[in-house]
Amino acid sequence: MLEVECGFDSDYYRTGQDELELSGPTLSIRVEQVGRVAPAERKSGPCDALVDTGADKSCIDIDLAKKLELEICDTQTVNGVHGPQQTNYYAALIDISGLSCVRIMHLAGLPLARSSFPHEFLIGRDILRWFVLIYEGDTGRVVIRRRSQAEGER
Amino acid sequence: METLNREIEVFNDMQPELERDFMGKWVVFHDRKLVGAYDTFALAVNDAYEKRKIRPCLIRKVGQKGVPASVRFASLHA
Repeated sequence: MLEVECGFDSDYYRTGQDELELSGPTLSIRVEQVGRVAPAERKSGPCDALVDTGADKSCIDIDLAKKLELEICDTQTVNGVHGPQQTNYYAALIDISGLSCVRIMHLAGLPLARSSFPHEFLIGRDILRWFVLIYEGDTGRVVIRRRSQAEGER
Repeated sequence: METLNREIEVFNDMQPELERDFMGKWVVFHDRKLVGAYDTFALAVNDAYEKRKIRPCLIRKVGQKGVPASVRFASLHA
């Protein structure tokens, strides 16, 4: 079984419990282009991702998507809390190294950084569907596990 | 983006028959034509970008509503 910690330890200034409430479960992932160029030349970059069980779909900051020159595969008008807005959808390779997970994903582009959102990526339920998530709010510990084949990986 | 909008127009024109024949599948449109229907997004991307080298192209799930991702960005029509 593979697992990664995405919660917080307590330190002198703040308890893990407080930090988890403030920041949310955070994981470092890599995002990479698909299809545009040869694999060795593809742009990729690390980013801090919020594990967001309230999100049905994973999202990427639009400025990061532009920087990595991700391929736009769809665009739709979405009625959000700020009114209707054009949303681009991107194809990208997502690498969660601690879980040996590399998958091509369909990502919604959102102005996360421009909204002062502290994360550049939201890991939604379309990624979490392959893992086990353990959230200990009373300690600040959060673990994401990937079952082995012997344990019945789905 | 203009190219993508043209593909979206064709998708919208064909939506009833797409929903009849390919509900829940990912479809690829290029050059105003349906290229294929696939069980997963990854299969659609591999066929369109890696095998056929067609881009830009539209890759959309049939029957998918244009909803945002999170309660934080909650949709009014969800």
